[in-house]
Amino acid sequence: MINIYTGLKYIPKDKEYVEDNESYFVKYALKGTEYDRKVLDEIDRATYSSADRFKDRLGAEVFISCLSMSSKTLLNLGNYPDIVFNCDEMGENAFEFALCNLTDCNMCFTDGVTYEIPEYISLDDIMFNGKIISNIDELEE
Amino acid sequence: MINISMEAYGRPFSIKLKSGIYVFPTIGGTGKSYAADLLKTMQLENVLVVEYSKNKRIMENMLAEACSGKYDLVYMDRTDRYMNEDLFDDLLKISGDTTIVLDMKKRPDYTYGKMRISSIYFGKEGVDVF
Repeated sequence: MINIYTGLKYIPKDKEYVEDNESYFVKYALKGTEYDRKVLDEIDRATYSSADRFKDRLGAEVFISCLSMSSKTLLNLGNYPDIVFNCDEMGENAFEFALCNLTDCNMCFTDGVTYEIPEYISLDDIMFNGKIISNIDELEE
Repeated sequence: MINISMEAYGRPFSIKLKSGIYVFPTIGGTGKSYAADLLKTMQLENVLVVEYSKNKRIMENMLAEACSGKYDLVYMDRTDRYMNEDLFDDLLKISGDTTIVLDMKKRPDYTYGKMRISSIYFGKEGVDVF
């Protein structure tokens, strides 16, 4: 299940929350899985080289800290499905990528979700603040 | 007005914008942070690149410098980590003479109508911010 929290107060007390995707990602590095490679390709137009390096779109091999924040957040979300990650720095394209490619993850937008959920995504697969909703307007109630 | 056209890592880099506050579209992986790195490498006197630091004192000093009005271009990366209304107001005050470029995914109410959209191209031909 994809869990989306629209504020820190909605995160269950027993869940670990990571505010800074950058340092968490650099600490645990790339896994080289199919998912990792897809994120690199679709978000950064980059290719996997090793746990701590990737080839950017110009063909230069660089350290993983040079990946975009969107990719770092997506990689954290996909590789650690039990942890809630801050998603404030994730781009609209990365948000859509997460909804299309992940089945288990925990996202937190500290001031609510800024991006629209594409119509082709079923709300049945997403929990908002711990609840299944049938209409996105219910979130504002 | 800022108009930089240089080589960085053997590829053209250019940024051409009038004064004001600019924000990139909310798309990830477009090269915003890469452009920040290149600008920082160039070490131009009239350009300040603000990067996020967890160290509060470093961040405060950097933001004070950003609002000083000493630079023609202030390029601020990852502003979702540190932007607030007071800081935005201070940037607005210098935006008549300074070009301010923000990497900002969240768009708080206090920014409405006060920012222009800039674009970035990052490809084999180089990096272009316009």
